[in-house]
Amino acid sequence: MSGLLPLRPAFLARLDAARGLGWRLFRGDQALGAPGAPPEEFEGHRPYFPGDDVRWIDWSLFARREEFYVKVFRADEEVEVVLLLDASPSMTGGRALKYRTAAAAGAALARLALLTDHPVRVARYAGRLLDVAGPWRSPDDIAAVQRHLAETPPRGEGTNLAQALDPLVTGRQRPVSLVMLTDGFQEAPLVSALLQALARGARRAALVRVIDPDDLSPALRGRTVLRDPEGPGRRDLFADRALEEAAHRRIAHHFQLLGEALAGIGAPLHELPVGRPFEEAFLDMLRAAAPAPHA
Amino acid sequence: MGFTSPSGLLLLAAVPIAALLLLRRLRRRERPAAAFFLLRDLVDALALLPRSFLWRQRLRVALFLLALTCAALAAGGLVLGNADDPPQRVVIVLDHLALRRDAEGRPADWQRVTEAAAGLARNLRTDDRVLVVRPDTGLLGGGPLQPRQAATLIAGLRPSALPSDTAATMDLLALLERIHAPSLVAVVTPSPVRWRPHIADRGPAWRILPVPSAAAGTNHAILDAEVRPDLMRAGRVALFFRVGSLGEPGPATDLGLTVTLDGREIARRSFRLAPGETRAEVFPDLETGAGLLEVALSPTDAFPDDNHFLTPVRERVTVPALLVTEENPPLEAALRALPGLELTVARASAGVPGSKAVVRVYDGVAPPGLAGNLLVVAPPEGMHGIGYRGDLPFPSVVRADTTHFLLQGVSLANLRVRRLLSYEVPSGLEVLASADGRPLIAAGRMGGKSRLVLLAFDPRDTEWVYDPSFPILVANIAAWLAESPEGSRSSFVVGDFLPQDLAGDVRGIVDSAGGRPPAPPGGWGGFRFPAPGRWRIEGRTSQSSGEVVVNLLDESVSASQAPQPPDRPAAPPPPPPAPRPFRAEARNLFLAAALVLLLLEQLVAPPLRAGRLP
Repeated sequence: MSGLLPLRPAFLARLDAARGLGWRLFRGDQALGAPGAPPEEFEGHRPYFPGDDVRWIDWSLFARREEFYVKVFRADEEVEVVLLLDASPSMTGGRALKYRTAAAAGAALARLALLTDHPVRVARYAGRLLDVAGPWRSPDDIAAVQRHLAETPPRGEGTNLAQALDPLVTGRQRPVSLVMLTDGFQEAPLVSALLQALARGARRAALVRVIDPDDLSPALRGRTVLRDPEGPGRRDLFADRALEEAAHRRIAHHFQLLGEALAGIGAPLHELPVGRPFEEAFLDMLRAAAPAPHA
Repeated sequence: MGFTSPSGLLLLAAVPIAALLLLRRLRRRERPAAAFFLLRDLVDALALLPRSFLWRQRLRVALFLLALTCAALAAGGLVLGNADDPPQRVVIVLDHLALRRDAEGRPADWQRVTEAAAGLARNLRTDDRVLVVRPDTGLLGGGPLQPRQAATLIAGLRPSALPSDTAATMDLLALLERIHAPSLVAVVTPSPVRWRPHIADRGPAWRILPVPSAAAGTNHAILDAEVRPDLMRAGRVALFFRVGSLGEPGPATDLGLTVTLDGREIARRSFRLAPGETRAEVFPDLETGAGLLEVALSPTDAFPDDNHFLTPVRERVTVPALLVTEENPPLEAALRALPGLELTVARASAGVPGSKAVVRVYDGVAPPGLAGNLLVVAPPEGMHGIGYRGDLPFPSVVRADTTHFLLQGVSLANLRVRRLLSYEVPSGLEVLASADGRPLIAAGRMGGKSRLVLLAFDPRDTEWVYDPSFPILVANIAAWLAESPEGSRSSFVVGDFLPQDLAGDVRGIVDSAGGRPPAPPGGWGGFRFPAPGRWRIEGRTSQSSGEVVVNLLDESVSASQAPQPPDRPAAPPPPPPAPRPFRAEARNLFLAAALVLLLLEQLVAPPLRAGRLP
């Protein structure tokens, strides 16, 4: 298992054009100067790129020059984007399509972060933190990020986000924006781990859920040996249609609860299905993550 | 084992495919599930397999596949047995000698014949088909029967007094052979000799199953008899007999032959005869006069019907005859020697005279018409209805139908003809003898009534006139031409039909000798005389009433199978043919098996749920 899903130049160009969405993705509503948020200093203007939030367009300047310019603020402090990639066996098993999709999404997000002046680090985890790379600060480092993500991750067992987050947020001087790329299947409490990380100083946490339809609706009918990809668990069963539907309902219920819990702690949940072409699915996810501002 | 339908093989081929699909569905599939931790509890609560699951599931699969196989076999019409041995069609001919009766007057062989025939039917396979034929009444049951049906039919049959009509039976069997192509035609009979000549060259499918005759013993019989008053002077007859001993090998027996006329003994002859021997006896010149002549062979044996011969002897009637010839001494001499003819000779050169003669002989000249009964000898330019095609000098090959009554006692072996006149013979005449493919002697009816015999050679052109066969031929021809119409015939043999011109005017026929029941009104194709003796025909008029005599004179009936010495127990009926391998259509059996297997499959289906689903 190695290599990223291929990212074509056309996709990268569209990604660059939409880098304005990345700001919101990594900083959330703070960038809009939400009430109670720390003051930000106006730094200047830059030309408008398609994809930039139209709320940052300086309309007075447009009235004078009849060209679009957006306002650029200097953040009160530098926020580091930490991309947390789930490299547990449930992601890397089989053809590792989920991991490769998550890695490609990580590369695209790193590109957005570096283009919007966010330092980037990439961490991979399973039952513990497996490795950390970075930080990368310049857009010139995009190739290095991609090379790192194309490497086969260290082998790990189980999934425990709390074990991975702890060294990443503990004792950090700089604010951190956490973006987790995972399939969401984790027996250990995931939401409480995020809540703990936010409490320890993480500025923001978002979760990109890589969705494999087979995980949500596994075919169980007939005689099946169900195996836990992340442990020694096995069950020999004979399922009929009713049992299969009950299993599907239980999985759907799990993710419904997860979404509600993440919303409760202000951590957005983005969905990236593996069944669709990656580039199209990623751009759709990006648009859903940073909706158009109010007119 | 075979299939009545080829689709059965296709269905059987589909069984392994169904088995593969089923096993694939039941194959244990291992799959990693990222949601394992979510489903673990659910599975533990509801879907864990019981310990007996595995063997019950395997048993269920096996039962289902067996049921599927049974259904395929049933759909294919499986028949059990040897696939190389197809179902047979068997014709059973149920022959018995109605004449042979036991002390109580019942047919002696009936039970043995029916038991043997029913045993044969019962030993056939269920998919075989049987046709039952009785030589006295024809085809029974209307067509092919299942063996069990045929056995029941045969067991329920009753003997009849009708005689067996071998010729008609052979015609029927030939028809059945063309229609049904039987693989076996089995004639179950106590008298194999009657059937052997008929089926000798029929092929291996035709078999005789001999049944020992219970009433048979050492049997002496009058096998043949001929009474010739025409060869003798008025009031005298010549008697020719052939008698035989038809028993098993053993000591010779003293026999006597007694001739009586109206109960008065007029001649007696004694001789010894060993079993298997036959002997000719001739009474050359008996003075009889008119009356009922009876010949008895003594001592009486177990089968008396062939020990007697009856014939009426009538007053001698002289028949007027006319010979028209230029000069033919051998022919004229042969005709003059016949005592029953009152011969008048006319010269052809003087013109053909008119005459009231019953027998008219035209030698070297064509008759003026077809009146009377005619013997025409070598007309040089043919005659009415018979065209002349030319001469054939010295024809070499002579072929003759020696069984024809006109050629009885006649040998054509020495016949060498210097000149044969070739004629176009019409369809009404039968060619009795031919030379090089051309008619030599032809006889028949012309114009529907007149009897005509045509000789295509001049007797003067052959040395054969000095052979004894020539006067015998002339005598035979003259006797036939002088014979009175068939309606007055009064002597028959067993199995003869009552002539049609009598049958239409007959109210009933009874056995005038007594001891036999009245004859049935009719049999297969009309009334046939079933037994020898004197039979009274009761007609509506005095002319159509009268008495006839019936003789047996059938060596095949007299010669019965395997006579049993009295001190030996009767042999059991012959063993039926070796049973062939069991072969039965098993459709219903396999259908029932498939249903039972499916029921069992449901019973052994393992329980899959232990509780309610959330």
